[in-house]
Amino acid sequence: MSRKHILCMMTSVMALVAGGTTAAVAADADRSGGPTVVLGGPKARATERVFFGDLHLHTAFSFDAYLFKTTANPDDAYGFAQGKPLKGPNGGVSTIDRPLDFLAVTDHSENMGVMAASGDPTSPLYETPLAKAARDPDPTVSGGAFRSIITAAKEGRIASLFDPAVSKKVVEDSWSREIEAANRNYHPGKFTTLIAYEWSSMPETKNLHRNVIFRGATAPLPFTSIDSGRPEDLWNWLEGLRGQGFQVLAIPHNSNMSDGAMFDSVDSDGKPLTADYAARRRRNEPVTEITQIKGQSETNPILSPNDEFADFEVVNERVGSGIKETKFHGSYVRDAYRAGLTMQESQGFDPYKFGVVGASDSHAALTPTRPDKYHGAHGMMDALPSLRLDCTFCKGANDTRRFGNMGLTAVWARENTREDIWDGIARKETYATSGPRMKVRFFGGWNLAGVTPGKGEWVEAGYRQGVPMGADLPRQAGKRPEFVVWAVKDPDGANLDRVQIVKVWSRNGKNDEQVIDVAWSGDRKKDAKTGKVASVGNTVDVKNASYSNTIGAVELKGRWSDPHFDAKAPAAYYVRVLEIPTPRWSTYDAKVTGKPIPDGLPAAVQQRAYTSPIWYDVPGV
Amino acid sequence: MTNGAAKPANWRGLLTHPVLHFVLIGAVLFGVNAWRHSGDQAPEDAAIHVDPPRLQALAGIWRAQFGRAPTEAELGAVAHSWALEEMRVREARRMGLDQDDSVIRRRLAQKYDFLINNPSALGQPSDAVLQAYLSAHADRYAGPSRYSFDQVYFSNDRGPAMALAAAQAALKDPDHARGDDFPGDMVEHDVTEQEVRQDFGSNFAAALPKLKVGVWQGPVESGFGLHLVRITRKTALAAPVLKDVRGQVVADWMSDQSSAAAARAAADLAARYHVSIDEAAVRSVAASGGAR
Repeated sequence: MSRKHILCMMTSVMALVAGGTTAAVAADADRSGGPTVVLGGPKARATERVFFGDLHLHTAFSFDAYLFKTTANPDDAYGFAQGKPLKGPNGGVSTIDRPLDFLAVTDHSENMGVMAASGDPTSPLYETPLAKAARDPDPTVSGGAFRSIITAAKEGRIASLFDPAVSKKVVEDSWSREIEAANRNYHPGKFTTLIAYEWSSMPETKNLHRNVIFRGATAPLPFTSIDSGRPEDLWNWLEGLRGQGFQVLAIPHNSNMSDGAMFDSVDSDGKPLTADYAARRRRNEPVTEITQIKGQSETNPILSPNDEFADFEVVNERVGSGIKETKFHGSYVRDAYRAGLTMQESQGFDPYKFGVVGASDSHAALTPTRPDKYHGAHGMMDALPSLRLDCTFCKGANDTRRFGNMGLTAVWARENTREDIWDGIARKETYATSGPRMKVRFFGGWNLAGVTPGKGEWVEAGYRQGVPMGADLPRQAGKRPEFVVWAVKDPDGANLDRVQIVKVWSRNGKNDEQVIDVAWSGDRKKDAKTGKVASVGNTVDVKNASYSNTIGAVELKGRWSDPHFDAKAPAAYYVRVLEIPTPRWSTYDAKVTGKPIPDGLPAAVQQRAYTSPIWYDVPGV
Repeated sequence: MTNGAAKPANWRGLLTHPVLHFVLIGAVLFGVNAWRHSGDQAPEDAAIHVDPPRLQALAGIWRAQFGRAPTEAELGAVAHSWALEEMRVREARRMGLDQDDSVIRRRLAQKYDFLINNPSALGQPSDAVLQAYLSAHADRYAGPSRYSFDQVYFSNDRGPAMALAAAQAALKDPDHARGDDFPGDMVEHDVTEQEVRQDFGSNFAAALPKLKVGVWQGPVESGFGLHLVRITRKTALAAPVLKDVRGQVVADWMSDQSSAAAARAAADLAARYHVSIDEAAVRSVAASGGAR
C-alpha cells in the first residue's frame, strides 16, 4: 500500500468522522512538530447519544486472573456485559444490573493464555512449578505464584518463565480466540466489542501499562512488554501498524501506581522530552484512564491541597505489591496537564494533551457496576465480603480494601458501532465515571450566547458555536472563553451535588490549578471569602448501608466564563461532576457480614464523573 | 466289579490320608507366605523401559522449566531419575500408599474434570442443529419490543411532593399540560426497553410493558421524577432468521452443550455410585470438635 493511498484512506475516515466540515489535518499543530494528524479530526459532528462501557477487563487468559482462580474466558466476559449470568470464582452467579454498551477484553499479552493452558494435564507445562502452584486450591499458594511472576516482570524475566516453543503456540492460539470472541459478540447498534490487549510493562513495579485498542475486525499478534518495556517502542509498533492500515490506539492506566514514571519529564532514556516525543505520544495515546478499581488518577490531596474533593479512592501503592509511592508528580492526570501546559508555553509542545476514560480493570471477567452488589474484581482473592474486609489474601500484595469499586467510560457518538465508539475515543469526546451513568455535556467557545443547556436544539448550537469536550478552542484572539455544562444524574443512581470546572494553566513557566463550582443543587450560596459552595450534606445511614435522594439535584446546568482568562497563558478546562454521598462498597460489605468498617476507610463517598478537557493555546507567533 | 467297587474306597481313603493333609497345609502356608512376601520377589512388572515417547515428554518438561533442550547427559540423568521415581511409585502403589492421600485424590479429580469438561470434544454443530436450537429458544433471539410514546415530565427538582401534585393536576388534561423540560427526548420513537432503561431508569422501563396503548396514564416514576405517558405505538418484532444471529446461536449452543455434558457426567457418576454419609457420626464428630 502506497503512502499516498494510506493518507487518502485516513483522510476519508476522518472526513467521515468530522462530518466533512473541517480539514483532516488538525489546525492545532505543535509549533515545532509540524502538522499533527489528530485521529478522528479536530471537530466533532453533533453526537446523539452517550454510550457506557468498560475498556479494561481480564479473563482467565491473563496469567494473574487465572492465578486468582478466574476461569471465565473472553466469550463469558462479553456475555456477562450483555446481561448473561456468569458464575464467579466464589461459586455465586452474578448478573449485571444494566448491560454495557461496549466492552474491550484486555488480557495481558505476556504469555497470554499460557497459565490457563498449563492446567491441561497433557501439556508439557503441566509439571512446571508455576503450573503446580497455580493449581493449588490454597489461594496463598497460587498467590505466591502471582508474586513470583510480578517479581519476574520487575526483573525482566517474564520470557523465561515458560518454554518459548510451547508458549508461543499457546499465545497465538489464545490471541485468535480473543479475536474470534470479540467478533462473535459484536452486534452493531446494540453491543460493541473492541479487539484489545494489555501491554504490561512495569519496570521496578512502576506501572507503565497500556491497553491497546483496535478499531477493526482483525489485529496482528500483540507487541508485548517482553518485546520491549519502553512506551516509545510500543508507539513505533503502533505507527508501523497504522502504515499497514490498522487503526489502533493505546490507553495508559494507573498512573497513580507509576511512582512518577507515567507522565515523567524525561523519556525512557532519561532525556528531556522533545516536540517529536510529544507528537508521537499524542498520536498514539489520545486518552488516559483516570479512574478504575485500583484507584483514581485525577489528583490527590498532596498535589491539590486546596481541592477538598481530592481525597477520593486514593491508592498510593505500586501495582501488585505494597510498596508505597514516593513520587506524586508525574503520577496524576491534573498534574500532567499542568506540566504539559508549561512545556507548551515554554517549548511549544504538550505531550500530555490527552482526554480521559474510566474502566474496571476487573480480573474476574465481570465488570462490577454497583457498590451495593460488589462481587470483587480479583477472582477468588476478593470474591466474598469477608475476604474483602479482612484482606485475607492481601499479604505481600496491594491492600484491596483501598481499591474503589469500578469505573466506566462514556463516549459521545452517533451509533453504537466499533467505528463510532473508537472514533469518539480517538477524538477524546469522552468522560470517565467512577461507576454511575450520569450524562455530562460540556461545550466551550468564544460566544455561546443562545446555547442554553437543556433547551431546544442547544446541543446542535453547542457544536455549531463551540467545541465539545476533548477539543481545542478555535484559534481566535477572543475576549474570554465561555463554557456551558449540563449534567443529569444516573436514572438508577444518586442525585447530583455539584458541577465543577477545573482550570489548569501555565504562565511565565509556572503552572497552577483552580476548581470552580459552576452549578449545584438547592439554594446554597458561594462563600464570599473562599468562593466555594458548602457541603451538600449526607443522608447515608451507615448501619443500614443506605442513602436517600432527598438532597441533591436531578439535573444541573451551568454557564461560566473565565474571569481570570489570560490570552498569553495556555490553559485546559475540564468538568468534574459530584454525586451526593453514597455508601462505599465496604460499607455494604460491613452491613452484610456484621463486621466493622476497617479503619481508615470512609463509610460514604461522592462518586463522580470527569470529562476530557477543552484546551486553549496561545495563538502562534 | 471288584476293581470298580474298590476304587471309591481308595479315593475316600486318600482324602482322609494324613500325608495329603500335610501336603495341603504346606501348600496353603506356602501360598500365604508367597502372597505376604510378594514385595520381596521380582514383581511381574519389573521391567521399566524409558522409551522414546517418555524421553520426548521428559525433554519437554525440561524445556518448560529451563527454557532450553536438555543435553544428552542431562536427558540421561533425567531418564535415570524418572526410572528411580517409577520404581518407588510402583512399590508405593503395591503398599497401597496411593489410597487415602488427599493430594493424590485432588489431583485425580482435577484430571478427571479436565478430561470430562473438554469443550473441543463438542465439534461444530450443523445448520439443522442450530435451526432446531433457534426454534426452541425463539424468544431469546426475537428482536425486543419497541415503543413510541409522548410524555409530560415533572422533575424531582421541584421537590417530590410538588412534582406529584403537579402531575396529578396535569392528568386532568394531559394534552394541554405544561411540564418540565425532560433531560432527554420528550417524544420517543421505536425505542427498546433497554434504551428506555438507560434514559429513564429501571423502574420506568419495568412499568412500560404494563401500560395500555393510546391513552394517557400515570404518573409513572422514573429516576428523575414523575411522568404522564401515552404510548402511541408498540411493536413486537418477528423472530430473526438463523443467518442474522448465527454467531450468538453457536455460542449459546456450545455453552448449553458444555453445561449439559457436565451435568450428564455428574448424573452418570451419581447413578453409578451410592453415597451414604453416616449422619449420626457427622453429628457426633462435629460435636466432639473433630477430636478423635
